[in-house]
Amino acid sequence: MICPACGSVNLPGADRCEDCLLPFTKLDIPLPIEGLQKRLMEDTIADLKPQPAVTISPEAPVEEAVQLLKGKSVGCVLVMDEEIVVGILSERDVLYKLGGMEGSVSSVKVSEIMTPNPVTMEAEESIRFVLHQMSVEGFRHIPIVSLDQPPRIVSVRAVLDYLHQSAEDAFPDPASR
Amino acid sequence: MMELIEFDGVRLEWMEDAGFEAMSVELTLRETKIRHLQLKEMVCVAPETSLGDTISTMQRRRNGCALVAVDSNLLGIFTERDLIRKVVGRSQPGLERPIRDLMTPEPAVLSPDDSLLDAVRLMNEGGYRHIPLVDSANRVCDCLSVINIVDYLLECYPQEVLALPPRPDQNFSEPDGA
Repeated sequence: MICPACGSVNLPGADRCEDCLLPFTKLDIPLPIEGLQKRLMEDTIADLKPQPAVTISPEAPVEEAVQLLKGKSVGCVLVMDEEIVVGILSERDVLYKLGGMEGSVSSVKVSEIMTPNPVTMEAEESIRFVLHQMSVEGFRHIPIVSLDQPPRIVSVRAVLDYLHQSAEDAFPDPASR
Repeated sequence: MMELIEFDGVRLEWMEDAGFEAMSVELTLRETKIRHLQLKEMVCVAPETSLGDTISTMQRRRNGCALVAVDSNLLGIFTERDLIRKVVGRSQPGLERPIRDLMTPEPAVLSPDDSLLDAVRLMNEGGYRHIPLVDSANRVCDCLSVINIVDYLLECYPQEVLALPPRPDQNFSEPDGA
């Protein structure tokens, strides 16, 4: 570790420079520089433009949820017990838990196949939390909650859109001009 | 690359000695070919396969999309969205129906040599989450999913995205490592 201030050589992992006592700990934190890296560090979840969530009650029949998924062309519905998010029902849940069931599904309730207690976030948080959850946990939808607003959803499509926008800003598509 | 930064009130000349300078994402998207990505093994079924078998294969392989092909010749694609739109519901078609009747025929395809930017554009314009990949001889060889792209880009920014510090108000419901 070479001290950026005085240039003296320190042991790797040292907390501060032995010569000038400059603390090294903050040097590990990435600084926003440019392009997407800068945007990732500074943007908040609100910049992903979360869409209003389609909601349903946990007692509703699963058919109603499927109708919502179909009719609104969304990938998931948020299961709300009055004001509280109790679960999320995505296409993936339908595939895993409903696909292959014989006959009618009318007796199944939403609460039986939803994913309970999903990870929720607030719109003021860094965009990186959303990306982290999607990549590490494999979630495609993350509910965004706040005290004074109805819940919203960030989907992987919004992330793709965001990345696409970053790229297009840098290299406009010659075909689209 | 030399840069001036403010550090504890001292202005320092800071050299990026991290060893490499991360390529900007814009460049990464344009320069990376789809074949460079590590893709999940695709689920591929014959058109005569029954709906029930297709669904159980997708469940077993944990994949939201199945390609329908004969001798590597792509005929269609069956995804979770198709399942929602055409299968689950009041008048559920029988599980013995061949997948041929329920798939989306002739999906948009890309080649493994196309760039990630092409894939991102196609997904955005068509609203797709999966794009089958076919080689120059028109044989289907893989399936690109939107999460593969997101994952790949995040790998370029491990420090910023994957090694996030915990939030101050964060509580863990169970002890770490348990």
